[in-house]
Amino acid sequence: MEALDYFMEGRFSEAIDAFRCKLTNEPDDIAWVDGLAKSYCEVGDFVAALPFLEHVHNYQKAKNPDSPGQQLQLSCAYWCLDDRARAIALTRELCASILDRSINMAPDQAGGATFGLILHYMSATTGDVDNYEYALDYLRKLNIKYDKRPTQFRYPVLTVKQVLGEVSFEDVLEGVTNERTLAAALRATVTSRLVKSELGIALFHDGTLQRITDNEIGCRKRMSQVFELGYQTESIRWYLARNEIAKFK
Amino acid sequence: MITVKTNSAERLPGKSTNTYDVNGNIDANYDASKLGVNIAPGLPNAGTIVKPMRGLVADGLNYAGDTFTGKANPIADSGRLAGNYIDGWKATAAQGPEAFAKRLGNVSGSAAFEVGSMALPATKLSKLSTLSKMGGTAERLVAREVVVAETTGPRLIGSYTPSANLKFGTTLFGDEAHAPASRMLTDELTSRGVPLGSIIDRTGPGLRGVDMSIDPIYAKKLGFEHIEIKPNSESGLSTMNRQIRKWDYDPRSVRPVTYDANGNIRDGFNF
Repeated sequence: MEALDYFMEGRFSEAIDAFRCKLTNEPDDIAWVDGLAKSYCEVGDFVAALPFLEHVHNYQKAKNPDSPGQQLQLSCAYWCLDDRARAIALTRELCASILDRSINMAPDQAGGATFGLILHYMSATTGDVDNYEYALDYLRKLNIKYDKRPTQFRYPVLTVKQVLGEVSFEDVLEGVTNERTLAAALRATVTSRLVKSELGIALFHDGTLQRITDNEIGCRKRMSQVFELGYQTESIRWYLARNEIAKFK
Repeated sequence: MITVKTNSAERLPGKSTNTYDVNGNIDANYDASKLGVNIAPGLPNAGTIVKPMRGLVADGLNYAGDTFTGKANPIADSGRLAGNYIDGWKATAAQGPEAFAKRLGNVSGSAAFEVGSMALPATKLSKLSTLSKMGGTAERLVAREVVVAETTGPRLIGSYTPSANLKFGTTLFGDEAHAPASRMLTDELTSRGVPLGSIIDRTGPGLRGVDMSIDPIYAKKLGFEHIEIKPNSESGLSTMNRQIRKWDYDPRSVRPVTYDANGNIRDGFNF
Protein backbone atom coordinates (compact mmCIF):
# COMPACT_ATOMS: atom_id res chain seq x y z
CA MET A 1 0.00 0.00 0.00
CA GLU A 2 0.99 3.60 -0.54
CA ALA A 3 1.78 5.90 2.36
CA LEU A 4 -1.27 7.94 1.53
CA ASP A 5 -3.49 4.86 1.56
CA TYR A 6 -2.31 3.95 5.05
CA PHE A 7 -2.88 7.50 6.17
CA MET A 8 -6.38 7.75 4.72
CA GLU A 9 -7.31 4.43 6.31
CA GLY A 10 -6.17 5.62 9.71
CA ARG A 11 -3.20 3.21 9.87
CA PHE A 12 -0.93 5.96 11.11
CA SER A 13 2.01 3.93 12.42
CA GLU A 14 2.34 2.24 9.04
CA ALA A 15 1.83 5.61 7.35
CA ILE A 16 4.76 7.04 9.32
CA ASP A 17 7.08 4.31 8.06
CA ALA A 18 5.82 4.71 4.52
CA PHE A 19 6.08 8.50 4.53
CA ARG A 20 9.62 8.30 5.89
CA CYS A 21 10.49 5.98 3.03
CA LYS A 22 8.90 8.41 0.56
CA LEU A 23 10.85 11.28 2.04
CA THR A 24 14.10 9.37 1.70
CA ASN A 25 13.45 9.06 -2.02
CA GLU A 26 11.84 12.47 -2.54
CA PRO A 27 13.10 14.75 0.23
CA ASP A 28 11.76 17.91 -1.42
CA ASP A 29 8.18 16.73 -1.80
CA ILE A 30 6.15 18.83 0.62
CA ALA A 31 3.25 16.37 0.50
CA TRP A 32 5.34 13.68 2.19
CA VAL A 33 6.50 16.16 4.82
CA ASP A 34 2.87 17.11 5.47
CA GLY A 35 1.81 13.48 5.57
CA LEU A 36 4.50 12.66 8.09
CA ALA A 37 3.62 15.68 10.25
CA LYS A 38 -0.04 14.73 10.27
CA SER A 39 0.68 11.07 10.95
CA TYR A 40 2.81 11.96 13.97
CA CYS A 41 0.02 14.23 15.24
CA GLU A 42 -2.49 11.43 14.79
CA VAL A 43 -0.45 9.04 16.94
CA GLY A 44 0.15 11.79 19.49
CA ASP A 45 3.90 12.11 18.91
CA PHE A 46 3.96 15.90 18.83
CA VAL A 47 7.69 16.13 19.54
CA ALA A 48 8.35 14.29 16.29
CA ALA A 49 5.64 16.26 14.50
CA LEU A 50 6.92 19.75 15.34
CA PRO A 51 9.82 20.08 12.85
CA PHE A 52 7.66 18.76 10.04
CA LEU A 53 4.76 21.06 10.97
CA GLU A 54 7.21 23.98 10.92
CA HIS A 55 8.44 22.92 7.49
CA VAL A 56 4.91 22.82 6.04
CA HIS A 57 4.03 26.07 7.81
CA ASN A 58 6.99 27.86 6.22
CA TYR A 59 6.11 26.44 2.82
CA GLN A 60 2.51 27.61 3.06
CA LYS A 61 3.41 31.06 4.39
CA ALA A 62 5.91 31.52 1.57
CA LYS A 63 3.24 30.71 -1.00
CA ASN A 64 0.41 32.58 0.73
CA PRO A 65 1.66 35.11 3.27
CA ASP A 66 -1.90 35.76 4.42
CA SER A 67 -2.53 32.08 5.15
CA PRO A 68 -2.48 30.77 8.73
CA GLY A 69 -0.19 27.99 7.54
CA GLN A 70 0.09 25.35 10.25
CA GLN A 71 0.11 27.80 13.14
CA LEU A 72 -3.02 26.35 14.74
CA GLN A 73 -1.60 22.84 14.44
CA LEU A 74 1.65 24.06 16.00
CA SER A 75 -0.31 25.68 18.79
CA CYS A 76 -2.18 22.43 19.39
CA ALA A 77 1.10 20.49 19.41
CA TYR A 78 2.61 22.82 22.01
CA TRP A 79 -0.58 22.59 24.06
CA CYS A 80 -0.42 18.82 24.10
CA LEU A 81 3.25 19.06 25.08
CA ASP A 82 2.16 21.22 28.04
CA ASP A 83 3.79 24.37 26.68
CA ARG A 84 0.52 26.17 27.22
CA ALA A 85 1.86 29.71 27.24
CA ARG A 86 3.31 29.26 23.77
CA ALA A 87 0.13 27.58 22.54
CA ILE A 88 -1.99 30.47 23.76
CA ALA A 89 0.38 33.06 22.31
CA LEU A 90 0.29 31.39 18.89
CA THR A 91 -3.50 31.16 18.91
CA ARG A 92 -3.95 34.72 20.06
CA GLU A 93 -1.60 35.84 17.29
CA LEU A 94 -3.89 34.12 14.80
CA CYS A 95 -6.89 36.04 16.17
CA ALA A 96 -5.00 39.33 16.05
CA SER A 97 -3.91 38.60 12.48
CA ILE A 98 -7.51 38.04 11.44
CA LEU A 99 -8.52 41.34 13.01
CA ASP A 100 -5.72 43.33 11.37
CA ARG A 101 -6.27 41.38 8.14
CA SER A 102 -2.72 40.15 7.84
CA ILE A 103 -4.36 36.70 7.69
CA ASN A 104 -7.29 36.39 5.30
CA MET A 105 -7.79 32.64 5.31
CA ALA A 106 -9.12 30.35 8.03
CA PRO A 107 -10.05 26.70 8.45
CA ASP A 108 -13.75 27.60 8.55
CA GLN A 109 -16.38 29.59 6.69
CA ALA A 110 -17.02 31.80 9.67
CA GLY A 111 -14.32 34.40 9.24
CA GLY A 112 -11.77 32.74 11.53
CA ALA A 113 -14.09 31.66 14.36
CA THR A 114 -11.94 28.56 14.82
CA PHE A 115 -9.05 30.62 16.20
CA GLY A 116 -11.24 32.45 18.69
CA LEU A 117 -12.95 29.26 19.84
CA ILE A 118 -9.65 27.49 20.42
CA LEU A 119 -8.30 30.50 22.32
CA HIS A 120 -11.51 30.48 24.35
CA TYR A 121 -10.93 26.83 25.25
CA MET A 122 -7.25 27.28 26.09
CA SER A 123 -7.74 30.39 28.18
CA ALA A 124 -10.73 28.92 30.01
CA THR A 125 -8.78 25.76 30.77
CA THR A 126 -5.76 27.62 32.14
CA GLY A 127 -7.77 30.32 33.90
CA ASP A 128 -6.08 33.00 31.81
CA VAL A 129 -8.52 35.87 32.27
CA ASP A 130 -6.83 38.31 29.89
CA ASN A 131 -6.88 35.90 26.97
CA TYR A 132 -10.33 34.66 27.90
CA GLU A 133 -11.68 38.20 27.63
CA TYR A 134 -9.74 38.72 24.42
CA ALA A 135 -11.28 35.57 22.94
CA LEU A 136 -14.79 36.66 23.88
CA ASP A 137 -14.19 40.10 22.43
CA TYR A 138 -12.88 38.53 19.22
CA LEU A 139 -15.93 36.28 18.95
CA ARG A 140 -18.25 39.24 19.58
CA LYS A 141 -16.64 41.13 16.70
CA LEU A 142 -17.19 38.16 14.41
CA ASN A 143 -20.76 37.88 15.63
CA ILE A 144 -21.48 41.42 14.50
CA LYS A 145 -20.41 40.40 11.00
CA TYR A 146 -22.62 37.30 11.19
CA ASP A 147 -25.63 39.39 12.08
CA LYS A 148 -24.96 41.90 9.33
CA ARG A 149 -24.58 39.27 6.59
CA PRO A 150 -26.26 36.09 7.84
CA THR A 151 -26.07 34.25 4.52
CA GLN A 152 -22.34 34.78 4.09
CA PHE A 153 -21.09 32.68 6.97
CA ARG A 154 -21.46 29.05 8.00
CA TYR A 155 -20.78 26.80 10.93
CA PRO A 156 -19.21 27.27 13.50
CA VAL A 157 -21.26 30.48 13.60
CA LEU A 158 -23.79 28.73 15.84
CA THR A 159 -21.14 27.60 18.30
CA VAL A 160 -19.85 31.17 18.49
CA LYS A 161 -23.40 32.23 19.28
CA GLN A 162 -23.66 29.51 21.92
CA VAL A 163 -20.44 30.72 23.55
CA LEU A 164 -21.88 34.23 23.55
CA GLY A 165 -25.09 32.95 25.14
CA GLU A 166 -27.39 33.60 22.21
CA VAL A 167 -28.39 30.01 21.42
CA SER A 168 -28.53 26.67 23.24
CA PHE A 169 -26.51 23.51 22.64
CA GLU A 170 -29.64 21.93 21.19
CA ASP A 171 -29.88 24.79 18.70
CA VAL A 172 -26.30 24.08 17.66
CA LEU A 173 -27.04 20.36 17.31
CA GLU A 174 -30.01 21.14 15.12
CA GLY A 175 -27.98 23.52 12.99
CA VAL A 176 -25.27 20.93 12.45
CA THR A 177 -27.27 17.72 12.17
CA ASN A 178 -30.96 18.71 11.90
CA GLU A 179 -31.47 16.83 15.17
CA ARG A 180 -32.03 18.19 18.66
CA THR A 181 -30.89 15.16 20.64
CA LEU A 182 -27.33 13.89 20.81
CA ALA A 183 -28.35 10.30 20.10
CA ALA A 184 -30.03 11.31 16.86
CA ALA A 185 -27.19 13.70 16.02
CA LEU A 186 -24.67 10.89 16.38
CA ARG A 187 -26.65 8.77 13.95
CA ALA A 188 -26.46 11.63 11.44
CA THR A 189 -22.66 11.45 11.47
CA VAL A 190 -22.70 8.07 9.78
CA THR A 191 -23.47 9.50 6.36
CA SER A 192 -21.38 12.64 6.37
CA ARG A 193 -17.85 13.33 7.46
CA LEU A 194 -18.61 17.04 7.45
CA VAL A 195 -21.40 16.48 9.97
CA LYS A 196 -19.07 14.30 12.04
CA SER A 197 -16.47 17.08 12.01
CA GLU A 198 -18.93 19.79 12.93
CA LEU A 199 -20.53 17.69 15.65
CA GLY A 200 -17.07 17.16 17.13
CA ILE A 201 -16.59 20.93 17.22
CA ALA A 202 -20.02 21.47 18.77
CA LEU A 203 -19.42 18.88 21.49
CA PHE A 204 -15.93 20.13 22.25
CA HIS A 205 -16.96 23.72 22.82
CA ASP A 206 -20.03 22.72 24.78
CA GLY A 207 -17.57 20.87 26.98
CA THR A 208 -15.57 24.08 27.38
CA LEU A 209 -18.71 25.94 28.41
CA GLN A 210 -19.44 23.25 31.02
CA ARG A 211 -15.91 23.68 32.36
CA ILE A 212 -16.51 27.42 32.71
CA THR A 213 -19.58 26.70 34.85
CA ASP A 214 -17.50 24.34 37.02
CA ASN A 215 -19.22 21.27 35.61
CA GLU A 216 -15.99 19.35 35.09
CA ILE A 217 -17.78 16.01 34.89
CA GLY A 218 -19.94 17.35 32.09
CA CYS A 219 -16.85 18.69 30.35
CA ARG A 220 -15.08 15.34 30.53
CA LYS A 221 -18.16 13.61 29.21
CA ARG A 222 -18.15 15.91 26.19
CA MET A 223 -14.42 15.41 25.61
CA SER A 224 -14.95 11.65 25.71
CA GLN A 225 -17.76 12.00 23.18
CA VAL A 226 -15.48 13.99 20.86
CA PHE A 227 -12.76 11.37 21.20
CA GLU A 228 -15.21 8.57 20.51
CA LEU A 229 -16.14 10.18 17.19
CA GLY A 230 -12.69 9.04 16.09
CA TYR A 231 -9.94 10.64 14.07
CA GLN A 232 -12.35 11.45 11.27
CA THR A 233 -13.92 14.22 13.27
CA GLU A 234 -12.27 17.66 13.22
CA SER A 235 -8.63 16.90 13.94
CA ILE A 236 -7.60 19.78 16.23
CA ARG A 237 -10.54 19.18 18.59
CA TRP A 238 -9.87 15.46 18.44
CA TYR A 239 -6.23 15.90 19.47
CA LEU A 240 -7.24 18.26 22.25
CA ALA A 241 -9.99 15.93 23.47
CA ARG A 242 -7.58 13.00 23.44
CA ASN A 243 -5.16 15.09 25.45
CA GLU A 244 -7.93 15.86 27.95
CA ILE A 245 -8.73 12.19 28.32
CA ALA A 246 -5.07 11.37 28.89
CA LYS A 247 -5.08 13.95 31.68
CA PHE A 248 -8.17 12.37 33.29
CA LYS A 249 -6.36 9.09 33.53
CA MET B 1 -15.71 17.90 -25.51
CA ILE B 2 -13.04 15.34 -24.94
CA THR B 3 -10.85 14.22 -27.76
CA VAL B 4 -8.70 11.21 -27.12
CA LYS B 5 -6.16 10.26 -29.73
CA THR B 6 -5.32 6.62 -29.52
CA ASN B 7 -3.87 5.72 -32.88
CA SER B 8 -0.33 4.53 -32.38
CA ALA B 9 0.74 6.75 -35.29
CA GLU B 10 -0.17 9.67 -33.06
CA ARG B 11 1.78 8.44 -30.12
CA LEU B 12 3.80 10.84 -28.08
CA PRO B 13 7.11 11.82 -29.50
CA GLY B 14 10.01 10.70 -27.38
CA LYS B 15 9.96 9.07 -24.01
CA SER B 16 7.37 9.77 -21.41
CA THR B 17 8.11 11.86 -18.36
CA ASN B 18 6.76 9.23 -16.03
CA THR B 19 8.84 8.30 -13.04
CA TYR B 20 8.83 5.01 -11.21
CA ASP B 21 9.46 4.50 -7.56
CA VAL B 22 11.11 1.50 -5.99
CA ASN B 23 7.84 -0.41 -6.01
CA GLY B 24 7.29 0.15 -9.68
CA ASN B 25 4.51 2.64 -9.14
CA ILE B 26 4.04 5.24 -11.80
CA ASP B 27 3.77 8.92 -11.09
CA ALA B 28 2.17 10.05 -14.29
CA ASN B 29 3.02 13.69 -14.60
CA TYR B 30 1.59 14.19 -18.01
CA ASP B 31 0.55 17.39 -19.51
CA ALA B 32 -2.77 16.41 -21.02
CA SER B 33 -2.19 18.44 -24.14
CA LYS B 34 1.06 16.64 -24.80
CA LEU B 35 -0.87 13.41 -24.76
CA GLY B 36 -3.12 14.71 -27.48
CA VAL B 37 -5.91 14.82 -24.93
CA ASN B 38 -8.05 17.91 -24.74
CA ILE B 39 -9.76 17.96 -21.40
CA ALA B 40 -13.11 19.67 -21.53
CA PRO B 41 -12.99 22.97 -19.61
CA GLY B 42 -15.65 21.65 -17.31
CA LEU B 43 -13.70 18.58 -16.38
CA PRO B 44 -10.56 19.67 -14.64
CA ASN B 45 -11.16 17.29 -11.82
CA ALA B 46 -12.04 14.34 -13.95
CA GLY B 47 -9.06 15.14 -16.09
CA THR B 48 -6.81 15.06 -13.12
CA ILE B 49 -8.23 11.83 -11.89
CA VAL B 50 -7.92 9.98 -15.14
CA LYS B 51 -4.47 11.42 -15.76
CA PRO B 52 -2.70 8.36 -14.34
CA MET B 53 -4.80 6.19 -16.63
CA ARG B 54 -3.94 8.37 -19.59
CA GLY B 55 -0.33 8.27 -18.57
CA LEU B 56 -0.62 4.52 -18.66
CA VAL B 57 -2.06 4.64 -22.15
CA ALA B 58 0.73 6.85 -23.39
CA ASP B 59 3.33 4.74 -21.66
CA GLY B 60 1.86 1.67 -23.24
CA LEU B 61 2.05 3.25 -26.65
CA ASN B 62 5.60 4.32 -26.10
CA TYR B 63 6.67 0.96 -24.84
CA ALA B 64 4.79 -0.81 -27.58
CA GLY B 65 7.15 0.78 -30.03
CA ASP B 66 10.12 -0.35 -28.08
CA THR B 67 11.40 -3.65 -29.43
CA PHE B 68 13.25 -4.36 -26.21
CA THR B 69 10.14 -4.41 -24.11
CA GLY B 70 7.36 -5.07 -26.60
CA LYS B 71 4.44 -7.20 -25.61
CA ALA B 72 6.32 -8.72 -22.76
CA ASN B 73 6.01 -5.47 -20.94
CA PRO B 74 2.73 -5.38 -19.04
CA ILE B 75 2.63 -1.61 -19.33
CA ALA B 76 2.61 -1.89 -23.09
CA ASP B 77 -0.20 -4.40 -23.11
CA SER B 78 -2.36 -2.54 -20.68
CA GLY B 79 -1.68 0.65 -22.57
CA ARG B 80 -2.91 -0.91 -25.78
CA LEU B 81 -5.88 -2.35 -23.99
CA ALA B 82 -6.80 0.99 -22.46
CA GLY B 83 -6.41 2.61 -25.85
CA ASN B 84 -8.72 0.05 -27.39
CA TYR B 85 -11.28 0.75 -24.73
CA ILE B 86 -11.13 4.44 -25.49
CA ASP B 87 -11.78 3.73 -29.15
CA GLY B 88 -14.59 1.39 -28.22
CA TRP B 89 -16.26 3.91 -26.01
CA LYS B 90 -15.85 6.66 -28.57
CA ALA B 91 -17.61 4.44 -31.06
CA THR B 92 -20.40 3.91 -28.57
CA ALA B 93 -20.50 7.66 -27.98
CA ALA B 94 -21.27 8.18 -31.63
CA GLN B 95 -24.43 6.13 -31.15
CA GLY B 96 -25.79 8.53 -28.58
CA PRO B 97 -26.38 8.69 -24.82
CA GLU B 98 -28.80 5.76 -24.79
CA ALA B 99 -26.18 3.47 -26.22
CA PHE B 100 -23.80 4.69 -23.57
CA ALA B 101 -26.27 4.01 -20.84
CA LYS B 102 -26.90 0.55 -22.17
CA ARG B 103 -23.23 -0.29 -22.39
CA LEU B 104 -22.33 1.14 -19.06
CA GLY B 105 -25.24 -0.48 -17.32
CA ASN B 106 -26.76 2.08 -15.07
CA VAL B 107 -25.59 5.53 -15.97
CA SER B 108 -27.25 8.37 -14.18
CA GLY B 109 -26.57 11.95 -13.37
CA SER B 110 -24.29 10.70 -10.66
CA ALA B 111 -21.86 9.40 -13.25
CA ALA B 112 -19.87 12.59 -12.91
CA PHE B 113 -19.60 12.13 -9.19
CA GLU B 114 -18.42 8.60 -9.70
CA VAL B 115 -15.41 9.90 -11.55
CA GLY B 116 -14.47 11.80 -8.45
CA SER B 117 -15.13 8.93 -6.15
CA MET B 118 -12.88 6.70 -8.20
CA ALA B 119 -9.80 8.68 -7.33
CA LEU B 120 -8.35 5.87 -5.31
CA PRO B 121 -8.85 3.15 -7.90
CA ALA B 122 -7.31 5.53 -10.42
CA THR B 123 -4.24 5.73 -8.25
CA LYS B 124 -4.17 2.01 -7.86
CA LEU B 125 -4.40 1.70 -11.59
CA SER B 126 -0.91 3.02 -11.83
CA LYS B 127 0.36 -0.07 -10.07
CA LEU B 128 1.57 -2.83 -12.27
CA SER B 129 -1.26 -5.20 -11.70
CA THR B 130 -2.73 -7.93 -13.83
CA LEU B 131 -3.66 -7.13 -17.38
CA SER B 132 -7.31 -7.92 -17.04
CA LYS B 133 -7.73 -5.91 -13.87
CA MET B 134 -6.10 -2.90 -15.43
CA GLY B 135 -8.17 -3.18 -18.55
CA GLY B 136 -11.35 -3.34 -16.54
CA THR B 137 -10.46 -0.34 -14.47
CA ALA B 138 -9.40 1.60 -17.52
CA GLU B 139 -12.68 0.82 -19.20
CA ARG B 140 -14.74 2.08 -16.31
CA LEU B 141 -12.71 5.25 -16.06
CA VAL B 142 -12.82 6.03 -19.72
CA ALA B 143 -16.47 5.19 -19.98
CA ARG B 144 -17.44 7.45 -17.15
CA GLU B 145 -15.30 10.27 -18.39
CA VAL B 146 -16.79 10.13 -21.84
CA VAL B 147 -20.30 9.78 -20.47
CA VAL B 148 -19.78 12.84 -18.32
CA ALA B 149 -18.45 14.82 -21.24
CA GLU B 150 -21.03 13.64 -23.74
CA THR B 151 -24.15 13.74 -21.69
CA THR B 152 -23.81 16.08 -18.77
CA GLY B 153 -21.19 18.73 -19.53
CA PRO B 154 -19.38 20.28 -16.59
CA ARG B 155 -20.16 18.47 -13.39
CA LEU B 156 -22.90 20.07 -11.36
CA ILE B 157 -21.73 20.35 -7.78
CA GLY B 158 -24.96 21.81 -6.48
CA SER B 159 -27.39 24.70 -6.71
CA TYR B 160 -28.69 27.56 -4.62
CA THR B 161 -31.33 30.20 -5.20
CA PRO B 162 -29.79 33.59 -5.94
CA SER B 163 -31.45 36.63 -4.41
CA ALA B 164 -33.84 38.16 -6.91
CA ASN B 165 -32.43 41.66 -6.51
CA LEU B 166 -28.88 40.68 -7.41
CA LYS B 167 -27.54 40.79 -10.93
CA PHE B 168 -25.24 38.09 -12.27
CA GLY B 169 -21.72 39.41 -12.79
CA THR B 170 -21.83 41.93 -9.96
CA THR B 171 -19.68 41.80 -6.84
CA LEU B 172 -22.72 41.30 -4.62
CA PHE B 173 -23.91 38.37 -6.70
CA GLY B 174 -20.42 36.90 -6.46
CA ASP B 175 -20.25 37.43 -2.70
CA GLU B 176 -23.55 35.61 -2.28
CA ALA B 177 -22.53 32.76 -4.61
CA HIS B 178 -19.25 32.12 -2.80
CA ALA B 179 -20.93 31.12 0.46
CA PRO B 180 -22.99 28.16 -0.85
CA ALA B 181 -20.20 27.20 -3.24
CA SER B 182 -17.64 26.97 -0.46
CA ARG B 183 -20.09 25.00 1.67
CA MET B 184 -20.74 22.52 -1.14
CA LEU B 185 -17.04 22.19 -1.85
CA THR B 186 -16.22 21.68 1.81
CA ASP B 187 -18.85 18.96 1.97
CA GLU B 188 -17.39 17.32 -1.11
CA LEU B 189 -13.80 17.58 0.10
CA THR B 190 -14.58 16.14 3.53
CA SER B 191 -16.47 13.28 1.88
CA ARG B 192 -13.26 12.57 -0.03
CA GLY B 193 -11.27 12.36 3.18
CA VAL B 194 -9.96 15.90 3.60
CA PRO B 195 -10.47 16.99 7.21
CA LEU B 196 -11.99 20.39 7.92
CA GLY B 197 -8.76 21.72 9.39
CA SER B 198 -6.94 21.04 6.14
CA ILE B 199 -9.38 23.13 4.10
CA ILE B 200 -8.42 26.77 4.31
CA ASP B 201 -11.16 29.13 3.24
CA ARG B 202 -10.96 32.66 1.93
CA THR B 203 -14.41 33.04 0.42
CA GLY B 204 -15.58 35.73 2.80
CA PRO B 205 -16.74 39.03 1.37
CA GLY B 206 -13.97 41.40 0.36
CA LEU B 207 -11.11 38.95 0.89
CA ARG B 208 -8.46 38.85 -1.81
CA GLY B 209 -6.57 35.82 -3.04
CA VAL B 210 -7.42 32.28 -4.04
CA ASP B 211 -10.71 31.11 -2.55
CA MET B 212 -9.76 27.80 -0.99
CA SER B 213 -6.57 25.84 -0.39
CA ILE B 214 -5.94 22.37 0.93
CA ASP B 215 -2.95 20.97 2.75
CA PRO B 216 -0.21 19.41 0.59
CA ILE B 217 -0.83 15.77 1.44
CA TYR B 218 -4.46 16.00 0.30
CA ALA B 219 -3.45 18.07 -2.71
CA LYS B 220 -1.28 15.14 -3.70
CA LYS B 221 -4.26 12.82 -3.49
CA LEU B 222 -6.76 15.05 -5.25
CA GLY B 223 -4.52 16.60 -7.88
CA PHE B 224 -5.16 20.24 -7.00
CA GLU B 225 -4.02 22.51 -4.20
CA HIS B 226 -6.39 25.45 -4.65
CA ILE B 227 -9.96 26.15 -5.69
CA GLU B 228 -11.01 29.38 -7.35
CA ILE B 229 -14.70 30.24 -7.68
CA LYS B 230 -15.68 32.45 -10.60
CA PRO B 231 -18.75 33.45 -12.62
CA ASN B 232 -19.25 31.14 -15.56
CA SER B 233 -18.37 33.73 -18.17
CA GLU B 234 -15.56 34.75 -20.45
CA SER B 235 -14.58 37.55 -18.10
CA GLY B 236 -14.64 35.10 -15.18
CA LEU B 237 -12.23 32.82 -17.03
CA SER B 238 -9.90 35.62 -18.09
CA THR B 239 -9.90 37.09 -14.56
CA MET B 240 -9.06 33.71 -13.10
CA ASN B 241 -6.22 33.15 -15.56
CA ARG B 242 -4.83 36.61 -14.84
CA GLN B 243 -5.00 36.00 -11.08
CA ILE B 244 -3.30 32.62 -11.34
CA ARG B 245 -0.42 34.30 -13.17
CA LYS B 246 -0.32 37.07 -10.60
CA TRP B 247 -0.26 34.60 -7.72
CA ASP B 248 2.44 32.65 -9.52
CA TYR B 249 0.54 29.39 -9.14
CA ASP B 250 0.92 26.40 -11.37
CA PRO B 251 -2.39 26.50 -13.32
CA ARG B 252 -2.70 22.74 -12.90
CA SER B 253 -2.80 23.19 -9.14
CA VAL B 254 -5.98 25.29 -9.32
CA ARG B 255 -9.41 23.69 -9.65
CA PRO B 256 -11.82 26.17 -11.27
CA VAL B 257 -15.39 26.15 -9.98
CA THR B 258 -18.07 28.36 -11.49
CA TYR B 259 -21.51 29.73 -10.66
CA ASP B 260 -24.09 30.88 -13.16
CA ALA B 261 -27.05 33.27 -13.13
CA ASN B 262 -29.38 30.48 -11.99
CA GLY B 263 -27.28 29.53 -8.98
CA ASN B 264 -25.73 26.39 -10.44
CA ILE B 265 -22.28 25.59 -9.07
CA ARG B 266 -20.18 23.55 -11.46
CA ASP B 267 -16.68 22.28 -11.98
CA GLY B 268 -15.01 24.40 -14.62
CA PHE B 269 -16.22 26.80 -17.28
CA ASN B 270 -18.87 26.13 -19.90
CA PHE B 271 -20.10 29.39 -21.42
